Amino acid sequence: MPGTLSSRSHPLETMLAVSDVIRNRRYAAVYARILELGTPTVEEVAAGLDSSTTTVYEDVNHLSEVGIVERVTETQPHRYRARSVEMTVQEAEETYQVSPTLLVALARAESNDDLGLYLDRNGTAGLATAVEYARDYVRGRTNARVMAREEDIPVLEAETVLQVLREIVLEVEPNVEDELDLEELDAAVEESSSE
Amino acid sequence: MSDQLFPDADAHVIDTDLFIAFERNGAVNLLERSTSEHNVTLLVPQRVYDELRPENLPYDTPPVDSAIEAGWVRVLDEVDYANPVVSSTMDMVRRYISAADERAEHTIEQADAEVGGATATLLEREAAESVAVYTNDVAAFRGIERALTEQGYEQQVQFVKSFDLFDDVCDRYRFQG
Repeated sequence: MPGTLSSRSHPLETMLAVSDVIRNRRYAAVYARILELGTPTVEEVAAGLDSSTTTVYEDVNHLSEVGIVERVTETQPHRYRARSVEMTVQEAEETYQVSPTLLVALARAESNDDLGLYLDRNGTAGLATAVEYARDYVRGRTNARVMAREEDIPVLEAETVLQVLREIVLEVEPNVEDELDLEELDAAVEESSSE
Repeated sequence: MSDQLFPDADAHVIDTDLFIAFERNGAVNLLERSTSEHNVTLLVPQRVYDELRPENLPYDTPPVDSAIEAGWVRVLDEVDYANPVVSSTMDMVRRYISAADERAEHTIEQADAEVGGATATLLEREAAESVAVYTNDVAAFRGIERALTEQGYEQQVQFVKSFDLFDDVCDRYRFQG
């Protein structure tokens, strides 16, 4: 994705902008919608959201000012693109990884009950951790039992959130490797048994 | 597999992820319909059954219990841990899970390999000549397949990816009355 936003550029400003998106689900919804559509106009963004076009217009402007999205046109009607937000956020006692996938998951938590419940119980940091597990789950590198044990939650809850997040990971990160290399795995098992 | 949703096998052992895929999408009725039309009973290892009905349930009757009552899901007997083929299968599955997720083998519990143990138990007790295993855990299945091949059960286990069955069942039934 062009235009990666990292904490290296303007640490404080960027941090604040990202916290904004994390706290305000309306911003998260706008970000997710722009990411989904590629380079939409404000009208196109608004078409899929509950807010009025005026509100969406203001939100897009705000996100553009803080650099979370960027305007890609010189003339009206303007089109916008979501920047790839990759950074580590420290909030209270917790540190977690922000990614476009997490922002889309936050937006979807509004309409998806399983995701909403998970977010209520585990917070944004917990959801960010689940996104990391989900990426490994898509890659065939982990399963719900491992996550359940490490995060101290029921397997049912872990499996459910992994399945919901899997769909988001596949959508937002189309380059994620979703086929496990079985020959490589066989070799790793050989190696571990000969130790 | 043109109109056959389920492979031809004597027994169909499912992992937790299959049932949850239908449950969270409100599609358990579609799974029921497909099993009854294909005359298939889904077999659930003890561990999988326990995982499908955790404490603090969000509902009165867990869907898996309704399915058992209706007869299209059946809980399997305990895995025969004392049988060497069963225990070596479970060990192999643990090694595969551990290698895939790069965690130490001792952190993977033996019960994590119960789908493999249940499959081996069915074959060893001659309760089934062929078993289809439904899971998304590709690494775990690779372990099951390898262990059982080494024990002479090559060709007697088949892998079905849970998400593939979910997609096939939904494609077939979702838009029908």
